[in-house]
Amino acid sequence: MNKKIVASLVMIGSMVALATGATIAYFSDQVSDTGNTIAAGTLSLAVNGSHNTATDTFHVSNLVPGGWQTAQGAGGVALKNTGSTHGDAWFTIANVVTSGDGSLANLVQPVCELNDPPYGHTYTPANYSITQLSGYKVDVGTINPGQTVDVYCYNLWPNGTPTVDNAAQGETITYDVVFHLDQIIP
Amino acid sequence: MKRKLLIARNAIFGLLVLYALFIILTSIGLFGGRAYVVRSGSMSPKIGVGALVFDSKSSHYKIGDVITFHRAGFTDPVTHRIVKISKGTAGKPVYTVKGDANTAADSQTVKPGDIIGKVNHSIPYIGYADVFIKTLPGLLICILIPAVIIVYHEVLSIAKEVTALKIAKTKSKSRRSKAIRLSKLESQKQVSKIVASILFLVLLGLFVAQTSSASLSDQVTATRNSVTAAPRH
Repeated sequence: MNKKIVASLVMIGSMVALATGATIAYFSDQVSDTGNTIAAGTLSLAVNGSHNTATDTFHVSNLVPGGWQTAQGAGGVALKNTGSTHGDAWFTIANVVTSGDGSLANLVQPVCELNDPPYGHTYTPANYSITQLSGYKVDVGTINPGQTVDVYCYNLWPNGTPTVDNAAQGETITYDVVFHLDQIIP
Repeated sequence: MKRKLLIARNAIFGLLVLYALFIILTSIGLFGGRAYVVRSGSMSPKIGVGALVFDSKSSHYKIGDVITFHRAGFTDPVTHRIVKISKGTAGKPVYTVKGDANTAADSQTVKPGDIIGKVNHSIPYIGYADVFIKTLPGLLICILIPAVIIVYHEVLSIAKEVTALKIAKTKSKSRRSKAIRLSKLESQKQVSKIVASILFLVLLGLFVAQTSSASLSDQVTATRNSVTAAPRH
């Protein structure tokens, strides 16, 4: 057969094969629904209006066993997404430093709630002490561009055994709270 | 002069073919590497949103390397830069990674087994084409319609070739030379067809390229928080 005819036939065959392959790939991609979007934009988090470090946010003094106290000052933080894309907010406790034998960190339970309607949604897991929350990822959820989520926090010291509670008296814990905002890619 | 032009044309053509083959083969994971469309901007300005990156496996990774890796809880692999290497369990390295545009390193570290490869080079903006091709209009405009046009032309050229062959079999000398002219004309047209099919192949390569994210993240640390227990009475 003529060479040119063979070349044309080969071309037709490969085009049909490639087009079929692409169509199959298109439909299977629709099923698995993976990454058909590109997310341009910026993401930036502000905690109480600060983009760098927020200092002296949560302070509680004179905490007693069986009691609870709101953090002094605002009693909470305002997390604002100042970027242009949606973000997933979460926080964790880091760099816990204790005076004394360190037992207070195992007893005090920080509780953080949503300070907006609907009230009563708690972010922190129940009965988790500062020690347990150290390195634990506490999810706050999605914050849309321009949106602010108010988080209200207090510290709880449930009654324990007197010996343990007594040992912790007079102790001080200092710690960092690291707030994260991660981009959500649709 | 004409000869030089011809050489230049062939050289460009050859490069295009190699490039098309390279994109397609890496897209489907040959050469031990892969191509990924970066869907977000944490590696900008070095790797912008919509860039196509080419990854290849490496025996060891160093600080400063941009790597693509699997991350637990994410369907898409992530492309970020290694900023720290520490020793993990059993002496295996643990990589801390960070997006160039992010303020802090990622909280999740990367194990050697999760690394897909190291980014060798990237082409900006091509990913936008990829995203378009993966839509139904994109599939029609970039792949199915060109394929139909190419097939149609090939069918026509087969018909012409058959006619030319028939004419050539006749004894008339003038008709035979006409047939040869027709045939030459066909082979000149062939070049544009090949260029068209290369474009088509590149697009198809993009179609099969996977996506990777370079997720933006920001963090703010609230320092010096304290809890003080009441003093002992």
